Amino acid sequence: MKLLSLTSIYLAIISLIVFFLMGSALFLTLRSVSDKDTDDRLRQEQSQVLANPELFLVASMGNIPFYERLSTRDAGSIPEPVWFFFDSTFRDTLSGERSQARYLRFYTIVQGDPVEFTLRHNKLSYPELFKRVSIATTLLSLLFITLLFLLNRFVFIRLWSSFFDTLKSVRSYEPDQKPLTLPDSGIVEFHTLNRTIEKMTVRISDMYRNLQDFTAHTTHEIQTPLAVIRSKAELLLQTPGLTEEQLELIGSVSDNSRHLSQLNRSLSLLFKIGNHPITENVGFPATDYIIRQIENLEEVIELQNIKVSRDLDEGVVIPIDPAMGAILVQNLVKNAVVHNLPGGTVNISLHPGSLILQNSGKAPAHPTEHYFREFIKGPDSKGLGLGLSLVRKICLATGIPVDYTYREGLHELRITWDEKKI
Amino acid sequence: MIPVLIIEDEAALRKSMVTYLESAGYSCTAAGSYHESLRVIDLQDYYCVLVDLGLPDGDGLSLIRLMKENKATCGIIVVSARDTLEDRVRGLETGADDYLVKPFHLSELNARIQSVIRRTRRGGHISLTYRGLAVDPEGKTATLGGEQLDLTKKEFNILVYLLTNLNKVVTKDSIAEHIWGDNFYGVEYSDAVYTHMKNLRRKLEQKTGEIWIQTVYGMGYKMEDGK
Repeated sequence: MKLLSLTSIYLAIISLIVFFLMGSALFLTLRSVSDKDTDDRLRQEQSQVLANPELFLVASMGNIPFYERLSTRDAGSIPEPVWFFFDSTFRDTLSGERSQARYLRFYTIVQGDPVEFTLRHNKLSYPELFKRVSIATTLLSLLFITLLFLLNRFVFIRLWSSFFDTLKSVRSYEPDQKPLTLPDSGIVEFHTLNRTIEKMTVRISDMYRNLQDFTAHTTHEIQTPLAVIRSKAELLLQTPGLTEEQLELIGSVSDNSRHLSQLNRSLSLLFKIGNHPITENVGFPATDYIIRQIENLEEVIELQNIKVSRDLDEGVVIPIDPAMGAILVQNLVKNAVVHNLPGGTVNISLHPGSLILQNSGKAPAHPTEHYFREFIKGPDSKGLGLGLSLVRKICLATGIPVDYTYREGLHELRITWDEKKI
Repeated sequence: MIPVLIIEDEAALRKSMVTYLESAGYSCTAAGSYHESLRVIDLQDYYCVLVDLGLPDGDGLSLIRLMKENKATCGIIVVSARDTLEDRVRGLETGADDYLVKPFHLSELNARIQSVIRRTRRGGHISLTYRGLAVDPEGKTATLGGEQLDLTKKEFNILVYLLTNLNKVVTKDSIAEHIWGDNFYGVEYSDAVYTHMKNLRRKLEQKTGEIWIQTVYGMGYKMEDGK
């Protein structure tokens, strides 16, 4: 999720909680203020009644509703407490609805008789109060959150712009490029971030260059000692009267030096492809080359009894450097033939815009994408596990997509390109 | 004896090359540096010069240029650890006749030298002979007792390779690399070598009744001149 969206969501949630608490507090405060006010007024009226109770006793006969005369009570037996509040409902004579009311009941002696007075005041309706407070709070919170969103966006775009510029530069950075130079930022944190990233890219580019030099030198220098080992083994092989055991030892030395040398060569190739300048407007004529590669493997194809079917258009050109194209096609064809089953099939189809190789073979033990990595190979493979890595590296370097799928016993490698590029 | 000059700075490799080539009938002069090469380059009319490109005190390519400027008639083979297409093209454009990448098989080196000498010195057509066998590598013909041998292209190439390295054990790997190149590492070629070798032997034995190609246990094959 984007930083802006996440910030907005957090702000909205926090605002809602704050507004809910504020609304509740407002409701409770209003309720208690209103209750206190009603009580005060009832007490005021009580003191008015107590000043001249007789008057109100007479008035009660005129059905003034706020006090009632205490019926049959013995003189002198006024109950404790002498006055108290209570809540109850009453039926409004005008609207006929029941309403909440606050009552004050008190007792006093009027003309020697104990009289019960009850005063009543309409109370504020709680549901009504709640409704109004809720509406007000909701409207306010909506307004507030909208403002907050806008403000957040504005601040975000203004303050974080330098951060997003940095992010863009870092995303497009490759270790084989020059170290990054990022603009100054007025914000201390972003300034520090930019300077730190610059230092890191300097280090990365340095390390990459060192590694490149190191690999180039090592792969080059290692070939000469390997040539020495191989030549000595070959000379030793010419010694007359060697036993089988000695021949096996020499064979092992020879095989392993050959393995090491091929490994070295392929690794150096892998490394070089990454740094190969991509030449525009060159093409690799693939049709004849594929036919030659199949011919080169004809003995293996025959011995393994593999059925090769080809559907090759004449004169198809892959928009790729010819040297790279040769390595690419060679590895694809070799891969399809070598990682096959006895009596299996290879289907090669080449049309303008696509090259597809299908071959029968064991189901892959890993997800197919895995086999593009270095040194990942099937258990029966005698190779180095670098063939498909080379393929992917070349495709990456030249921007040609490569796909590897396995369906119904068939491995399929497909490369596609834009015909307009040629 | 065919005179060749070996310019290679790595002493152990230089020694192996000298040993193998001398036993194959060459007379070798060896130099370990650019300056040493300048001293020995005019001593003889070499048939072939092997040049390592990365010499400690100079560049092998400028040696080739020098030889070409002096109208040297010798064949030139670059022997180098640099294996990119650009390196090969540069080597051949400078005037080398062939380019061999390290590490290599000594038997392959011998075959390359022979091929270069045939092309540069003897105008191509020269037969390799062995008992009643006459093989013209450039003309692609092989006759036995005057009769044409019907060989496939690969059988023919294997036969030339064995004849070039007469009396030497030639490994299966080196035959495979010689025939198919070294771009197919991981492809099991030893069965293919075996099949071609079986056919070649059968064709030779049918005519001669003798076994000419010996198998060296687990390693490869050998043709002996029967002396």
